[in-house]
Amino acid sequence: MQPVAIPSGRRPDNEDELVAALRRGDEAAFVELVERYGAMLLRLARTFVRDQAVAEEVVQETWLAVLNGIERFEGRSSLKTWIFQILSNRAKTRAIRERRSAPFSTLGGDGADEAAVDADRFRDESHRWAGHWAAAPADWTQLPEERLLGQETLARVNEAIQTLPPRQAEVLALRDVEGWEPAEVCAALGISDGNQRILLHRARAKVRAALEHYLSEGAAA
Amino acid sequence: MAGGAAVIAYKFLRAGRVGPFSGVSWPAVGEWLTATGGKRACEGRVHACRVEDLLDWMDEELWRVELDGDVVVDRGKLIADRGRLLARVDVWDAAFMARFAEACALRARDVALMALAPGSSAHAALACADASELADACGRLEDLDAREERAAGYAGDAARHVLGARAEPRTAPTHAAVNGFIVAHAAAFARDDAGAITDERARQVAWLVRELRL
Amino acid sequence: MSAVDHLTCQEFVEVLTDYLECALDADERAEIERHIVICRGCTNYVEQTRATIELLGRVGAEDDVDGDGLLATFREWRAGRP
Repeated sequence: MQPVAIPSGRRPDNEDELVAALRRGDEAAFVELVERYGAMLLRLARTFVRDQAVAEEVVQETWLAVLNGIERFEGRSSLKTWIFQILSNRAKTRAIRERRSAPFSTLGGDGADEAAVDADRFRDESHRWAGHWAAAPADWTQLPEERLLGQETLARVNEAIQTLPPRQAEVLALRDVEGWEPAEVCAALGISDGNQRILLHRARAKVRAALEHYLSEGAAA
Repeated sequence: MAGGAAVIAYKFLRAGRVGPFSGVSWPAVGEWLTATGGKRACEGRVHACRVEDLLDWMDEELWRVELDGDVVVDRGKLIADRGRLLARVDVWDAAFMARFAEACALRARDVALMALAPGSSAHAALACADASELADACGRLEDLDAREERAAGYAGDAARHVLGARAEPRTAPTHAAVNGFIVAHAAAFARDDAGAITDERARQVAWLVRELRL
Repeated sequence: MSAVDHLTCQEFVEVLTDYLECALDADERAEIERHIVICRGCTNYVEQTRATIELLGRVGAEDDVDGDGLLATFREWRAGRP
């Protein structure tokens, strides 16, 4: 593709233009890229390494690796996926070095045979309503919005993500935090749609349970 | 059904003319809503009820609707390319739903009586209970075998849903719908016959047609 | 004793993700929706799941990127190229 002459100050916005501009050392293109993906990379880095300072270093290294590798980027995947994969590799390497894995997660474990909700929440086999709620979930539409969507609740969500097994955390972060499409996630992680859905299912179930626990504390019966 | 013939049917919506599963806002009465892709790939048709489907889809508002395009019957609902609201069925409100729930609870009581020994104190206690007393009455029954306990249990469940519908009108649709379900299952259990479900549903539909003047 | 087949809440919570992802067939979707109509507990569970997803979408929304630091990195890189 012929390099396009771009007047200085205007940021390229399609991916091919961005890559070409970056290869030419165009600062505006880099700024555009950081604006698009910078916050995303920081959030994702924290999913892998927990520590804020370490996460920032990993992101810094990622951008450098992107710049050093831009010549070799072939465009077989999207730029976003490629940048993510660079981050993911760096972050995981760093996580091992820092030994920052969460205490109960097994590397690569995705929790086989987990139930979304504890069996004790349901009636047992002898009951006429076997398998139905024994202790039904509360109606969150009746909570004041500041409580449900407040800062402390968000903090609890963050905490819950930190305790997820790595593969579940990764899928949840990409799908629900970053809003990636299922197909993008499957491509980026090299997993099937079914696999992606199982990981998402388990991750969401855990975060919901953590939120339920938090929101029911001190609640009236 | 042939395309091109207007089909009149019923539609349950959440308060404010909102589709219960799609979240789509229906336009004003008389204006056509055309199914689009919807925000999810598997949505995108207009759904409605025949009279016999009313039991399964209860929600806050009941409307008479007109459907257009290829209308098909599929899995207990009508599916069409477009529809429009014709008129609200005003009689359908929280109080009405509580009445339906109550009718089901009393029927569940009668079904339970079939399982209890006539002349027993349990039988007598249930026979004279109205919907308000039924929940307590079921809770206080003694000396029941497993089968009797289960039959009475269903009646007690249905009775509690009546109380729930009255106490929290906002939740009335669920209480009404589940009571239809409970009494159908109670009858299947008491008669040891899954076919009882069809019979009970037919009774319930007849009750609705009569009381809603459909 | 008749055991009448119907979806239980315990089964419901396990297929909810598939439902939200449009991975169920029409039969299964209808079963899920019919269950929601009669089950307050599962209605609330669906709402809790939606709220959870919404909260997840708000995580780190106000995160600050060190733009200056990255610009410095970029200029160093550009200067260092052959």
